[in-house]
Amino acid sequence: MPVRMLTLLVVATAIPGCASDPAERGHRLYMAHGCAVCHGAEGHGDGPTAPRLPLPPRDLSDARLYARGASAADVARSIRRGTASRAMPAFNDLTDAEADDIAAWIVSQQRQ
Amino acid sequence: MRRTIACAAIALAAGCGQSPAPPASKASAQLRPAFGGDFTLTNQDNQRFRLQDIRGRAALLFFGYTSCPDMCPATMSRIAGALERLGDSRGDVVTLFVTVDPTRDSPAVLKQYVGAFRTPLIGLTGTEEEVSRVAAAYHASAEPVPTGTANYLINHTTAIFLIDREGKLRKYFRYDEDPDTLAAALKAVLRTE
Repeated sequence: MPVRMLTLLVVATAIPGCASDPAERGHRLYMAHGCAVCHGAEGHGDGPTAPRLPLPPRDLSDARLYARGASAADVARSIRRGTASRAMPAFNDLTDAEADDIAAWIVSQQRQ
Repeated sequence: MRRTIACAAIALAAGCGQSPAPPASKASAQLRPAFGGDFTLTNQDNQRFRLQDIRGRAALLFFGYTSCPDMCPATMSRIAGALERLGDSRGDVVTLFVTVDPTRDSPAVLKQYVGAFRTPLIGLTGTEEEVSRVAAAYHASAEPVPTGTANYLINHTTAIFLIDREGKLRKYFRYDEDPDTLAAALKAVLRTE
């Protein structure tokens, strides 16, 4: 690999937001946008606000608990549109790409 | 909080538990000079905080409460998105989260809350009187909504207030303002001073 290309690659991976892995970008967005307040830093539903919510958030690592499907597409849809129960508000400020990245990280945390 | 935080002459937008009541226009509004102003509250480290303490930096101020299930997390996400769009200038902006629920939102509770955000955030609380005074200055209101459990909700003003480097309130935005619009307004404030 030419030195110049290698340098660009190193710089790109060192800049926050430039991670090449969708799940890595997703976790950064998950933390920056405050998802951890309810869902916890690792998505276990144990964020600081969780005990005081009318409907406690689920453990995102348990794929059996997803009422509307546990695929990345399903999760991204719930992020953007919220859930019918209104337990989860719609985060429609996120772009489709951002929601997809967050969903990629969440799915990477799932155990079957 | 068992009584209503000071009500305002105008309701900007209220949320949490009920549908928000948006202002007539989605466009941000210019504000009169008497709107807003300096205040003193207590931050998440149990230190007294004056708005003047951040003079030289712009601020986005938001009234909310840490157990809010919908409007507050959604608004904080938009603010995070706006700050991401600022690039290196994001350090020139402070985000202030003023609780309208001082009974439950102690400095310790606020510390846990702000710690869950990677976006820098200052959580502010105080006595009911102190919080009421700040809310009145920003024409914000809050009203408890009983749920039959200890986890009551609060309908509250959800506007996002933009404060310039001199501590003057410049504009307010709806809670669902596009992050691009918020970022553009922040850039304009940072550029003109």
